[in-house]
Amino acid sequence: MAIDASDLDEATGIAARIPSARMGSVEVRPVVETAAAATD
Amino acid sequence: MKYMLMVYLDEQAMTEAEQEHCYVESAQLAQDLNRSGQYLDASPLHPVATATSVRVRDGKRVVTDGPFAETREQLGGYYLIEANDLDEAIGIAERIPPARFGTIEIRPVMEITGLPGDQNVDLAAAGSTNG
Repeated sequence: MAIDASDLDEATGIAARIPSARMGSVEVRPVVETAAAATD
Repeated sequence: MKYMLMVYLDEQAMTEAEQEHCYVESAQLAQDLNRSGQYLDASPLHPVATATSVRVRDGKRVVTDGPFAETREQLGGYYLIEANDLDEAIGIAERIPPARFGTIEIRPVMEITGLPGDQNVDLAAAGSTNG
């Protein structure tokens, strides 16, 4: 899942709400925002 | 800040019914996040048995079936693409610069209903607010 969160706390809070967090694990990684990326 | 939340789990741990329930719950979470402006994208992936790995070495494409499993390399980024079939996806994967020194793992995305952007759901939601 790709999300927009103000900080890591908010991001881990969302990660904890993903159903799979109850049986597996959810790794949280910040996305590098590059000027070159087409997604912006 | 954008964050990628990567889900790791034992594929065999859930029954089919539990998995279906998980998709419904996940779609609900995605809808909640969408309402709070925190949602960018989400989808489950088909099982790891469907994975294909692509590397480019000496200018030549090297394709192997199965997931990427080199512990000395780490996940460095992602592309979400639209392709007609696996061949087309492989053709795109080999153009990704790190394919020349790392590995691009291709996984088909599972289409589930109820995610933000799902037209049926969006129409239903619009209908409920209007009437």
